[in-house]
Amino acid sequence: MSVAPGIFVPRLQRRRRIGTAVATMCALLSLIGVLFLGVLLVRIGKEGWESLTPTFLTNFPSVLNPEQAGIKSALWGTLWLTLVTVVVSLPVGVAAAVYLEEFARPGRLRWFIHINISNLAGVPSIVYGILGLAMFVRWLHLGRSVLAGGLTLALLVLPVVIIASREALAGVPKSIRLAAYALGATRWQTVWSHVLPAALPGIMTGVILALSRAIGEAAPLLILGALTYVAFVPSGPMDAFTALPLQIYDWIDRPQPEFHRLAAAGIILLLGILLPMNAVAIGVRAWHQRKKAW
Amino acid sequence: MTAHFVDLLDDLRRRSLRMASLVEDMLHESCEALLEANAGLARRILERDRDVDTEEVAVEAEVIRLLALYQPVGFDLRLLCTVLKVNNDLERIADCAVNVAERARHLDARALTSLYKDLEQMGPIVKNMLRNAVKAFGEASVDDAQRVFHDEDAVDALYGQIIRRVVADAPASPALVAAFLDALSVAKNLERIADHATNIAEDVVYLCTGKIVRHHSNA
Amino acid sequence: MNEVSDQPRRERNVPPIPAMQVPASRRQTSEPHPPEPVLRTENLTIQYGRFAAVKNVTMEVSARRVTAIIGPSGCGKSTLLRAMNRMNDFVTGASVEGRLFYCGEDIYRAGFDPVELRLRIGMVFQKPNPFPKSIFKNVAWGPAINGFRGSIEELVEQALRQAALWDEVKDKLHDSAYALSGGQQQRLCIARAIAMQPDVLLMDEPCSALDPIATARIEDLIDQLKSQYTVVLVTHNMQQAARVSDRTAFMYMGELIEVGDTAVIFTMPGEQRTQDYITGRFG
Repeated sequence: MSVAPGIFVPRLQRRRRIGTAVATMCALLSLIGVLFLGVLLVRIGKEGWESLTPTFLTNFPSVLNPEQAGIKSALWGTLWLTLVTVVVSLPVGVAAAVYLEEFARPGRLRWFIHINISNLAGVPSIVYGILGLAMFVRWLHLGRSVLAGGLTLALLVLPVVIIASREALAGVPKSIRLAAYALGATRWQTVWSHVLPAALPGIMTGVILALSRAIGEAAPLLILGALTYVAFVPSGPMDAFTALPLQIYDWIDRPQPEFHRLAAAGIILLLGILLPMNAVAIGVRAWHQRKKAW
Repeated sequence: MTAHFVDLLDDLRRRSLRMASLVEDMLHESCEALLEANAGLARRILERDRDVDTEEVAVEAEVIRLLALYQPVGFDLRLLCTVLKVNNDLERIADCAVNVAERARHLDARALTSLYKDLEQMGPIVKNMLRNAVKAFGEASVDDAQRVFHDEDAVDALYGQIIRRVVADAPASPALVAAFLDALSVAKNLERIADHATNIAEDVVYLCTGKIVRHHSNA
Repeated sequence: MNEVSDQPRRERNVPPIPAMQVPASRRQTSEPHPPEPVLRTENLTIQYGRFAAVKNVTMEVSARRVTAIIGPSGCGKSTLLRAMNRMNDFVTGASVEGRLFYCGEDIYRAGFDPVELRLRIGMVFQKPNPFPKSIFKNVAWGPAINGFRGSIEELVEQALRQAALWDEVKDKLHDSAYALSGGQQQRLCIARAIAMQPDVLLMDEPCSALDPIATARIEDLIDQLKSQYTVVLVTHNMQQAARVSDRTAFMYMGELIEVGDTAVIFTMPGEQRTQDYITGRFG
């Protein structure tokens, strides 16, 4: 099979070889990232695996006795923090997104708010810690409580929730809204009955990803003054607390190698919470991509 | 697609006009054959008629095809309908011309002096009517169509006159009865040709204005 | 019971429209041919920013007739249609001058409630846009949020029957609307619109996203609907306008060039531009 002679010099072999070379290089480069992650996981796994016992989960940390130390307080602290963060950031974030996307008139003001929120999403988390310290711990007199910590984390993830929710809402095609308006619906009826339900999977994905970021944060909690050695489980939002990242940090800081193994176990636990969360978020997103019909 | 359709329309129009000019020639020659008793001419006319018949069928088929395939509207639709009707009228005119030519083979019109004068007068008027009608069709001109309507009365008058003369003079000359009858037939055919020419003119008025003027008086 | 059964080309199995029980309060007049045109524009000009999409249009829409608006792309026919139920409000930068009367009331005057207007004037869009819900909920939602008192199931069935869709979906009313084909989805959108029992139905190129068989069914449907609803149809398909409408308006570059009975427009148009457009010389 020959192409019309004379006018083209296609050099197909050469082009194919270049394509293959570039594809191989991209594959290798992406493997490097996976490779490092794999090495990290394997090292941590080997170091902490034996310490990951049921008593590890049910015991309190002990300064003197590494064999008996457990992560119970940090685990419960993290769960409490997550609860407060969700309760605050989810409604506020979604409501803000609904307002900005559906009700605010497009113009200077809306664009200004949008720019600011995008910037806030990139502010280092330690800055949120300082903010939380000043506002929640001191000014509102909440002390170093779960409530203060949860509110701070909520502020931290709020921009992410707002942005993700706005994108989910914007992803609902305008034709559905127009169809609702043409039936004599008000704007709110349209949003409540059609836009929000259709955007829900996207919003959930955004919230889960935001939460997984919040769970892994240590810096703002340190600033807030969360304790690193806590031998009790918080029983209410005003109690003092600690969190998984903090406990891990505390153990790594000790000189004894037994504590390092405990830290490794803590890391495995943390990853064991975060990775499934991310997987669920991605799964929801993929399912939604397949199922939506527009 | 439309440019192609416009070309097809133009082709059809030209074809129709060619057929019209063929029919005009036939009429001209049959009048000549009649008045000069030329038998050879008459034979030629019969052959031409076959061509006209074939062409009539072909034009009609083309009109149907264009209607089906292109669903024209507006002026194009009126044009196609007019072509269809004019086609029909032209074929009838050709048949009438053939009838005249056939009479011409047998008739020696000079023997019927008074009638001869009338027929001599009628011929050119009818030819003129057909000329104007074809011109009106070719140029889509209402003015030319109006000229056809003007001549209609003259033809009718002449035809009436011929009938009266036949009724008056034929009984007096029994040997010429056959000739009188032939002459009457010729006159009838010429009058039919005039009618068809009028129809063509009325169709042209419809084409140009969208108004149907048949069955009214054309003042 | 097919009276017009010498049509071998396509099946005529569209059932006749069952009479709908319309509450008296929803109908302004009960005479078959009300004298006041149901919609009337007066020097209507619509601009997007500085671009004038509709220029100085004055026309009437008669009750219980199908009025088609034809014209080349960009001539303003969709804009004019959207103005009739104030859907232009959702286009940023759209401004309206002149007046548009619905049953004698200027719908663009200050203080007029567009939401209430859209209860009486329904719309079907170019691309079928059913809600991502079940077939039943699609049809029932509009009446439900507007406080329909009565049996919703009956209303849904009636609307689906009128839209010639009932037989095809009666066993799967609670399936997702997206499981239907394109033509069925568009008929569902029509059912959804007529479930609101509007006076006027605006249709913006309803068949342009559909195949010829689905198009033919919807054209049959429009023909049946006109006994009860006033229909304004925008289409770029001239043959469709010729087949389906009673009156046709031709627009070009934002201006209304000519409006009249469909048969007259397509055999003997008064304006040269109309003639050129319908014979395909441009556009």
